[in-house]
Amino acid sequence: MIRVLVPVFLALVVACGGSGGKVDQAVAIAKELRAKPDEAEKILGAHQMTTEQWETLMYEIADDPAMAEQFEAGLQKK
Amino acid sequence: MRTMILHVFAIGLAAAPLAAHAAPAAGEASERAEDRRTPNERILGALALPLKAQALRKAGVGEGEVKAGLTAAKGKKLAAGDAASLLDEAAKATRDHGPVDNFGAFVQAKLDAGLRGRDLAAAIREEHAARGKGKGKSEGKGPPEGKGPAEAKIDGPPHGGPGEGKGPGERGPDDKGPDARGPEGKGPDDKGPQGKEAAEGKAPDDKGPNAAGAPEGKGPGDKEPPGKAGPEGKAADEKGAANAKNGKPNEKAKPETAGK
Repeated sequence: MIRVLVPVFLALVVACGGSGGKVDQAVAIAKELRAKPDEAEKILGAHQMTTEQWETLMYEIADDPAMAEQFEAGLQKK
Repeated sequence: MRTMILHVFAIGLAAAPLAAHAAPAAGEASERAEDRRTPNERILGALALPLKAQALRKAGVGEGEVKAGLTAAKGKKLAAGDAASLLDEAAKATRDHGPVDNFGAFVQAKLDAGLRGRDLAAAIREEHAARGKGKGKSEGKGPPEGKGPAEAKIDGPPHGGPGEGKGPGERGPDDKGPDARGPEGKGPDDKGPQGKEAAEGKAPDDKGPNAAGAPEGKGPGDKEPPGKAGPEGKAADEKGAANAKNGKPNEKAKPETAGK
């Protein structure tokens, strides 16, 4: 039983941490973008991200209300 | 005769490719506009997408509809910035006219039809204007916490007081039920007086004299039919509006005291 539950638990932890990490990363990038909009491409490059990947991430966050809320709240924080 | 037929045939052949090019021109135009965008613009436009999705949710559009709209946009490979504009327009239209049924399906259909950019925004506005479910309807369509569309649209004093300056044309004595609220800028705030009335120990039955009597300047003793003011004690507002119409603020007091 424990053998089954442990991987499930770990998977849950990774999944939750994954979405949170994504949002945190997105917030960090978004703040940089807002600070220096003229260097948007360069900023994404510094985060090893392409424009397409950034758009995909934005779609993913927008699609999930919890992530979108976290993103919005993160941007409002200074 | 043969010459004429040949000429017509030749003209037809020449015109066919032109017609074929004309049809997708609208779609191409918006795609070209997308192409013209610099990477910086695309990146910054995408940044707004989660925020606009949240705004749409807060405006009162159901989660399923938001998701469906996003899925449609993503499926059509719409740039995230364009999707953000789309959602922004939808949020504005929802605040103005109330949510529409099957927003996601509507967006999907319009995207399938090749609408993009301003054309799509205009279509969304039109759809909401035509089929929006009014502002502030209390059927669970509006935002639950009283935020969003209904309140955002309220013009002037929300409780229909005498100072509203609304003419009789805007609001007849026939104001009935929930429909009487939305279009005139009356939203969930209508419930303010209800709560007040409840606190004052007024029964919902008070609606009778307040709702129907006041507009015609009749006192509470008049046996006016209660009308369709609604069982939730919307009377206060009806009364207010009626007073505003007749410009007889003194009558406002009569029904209220009678109701107590």
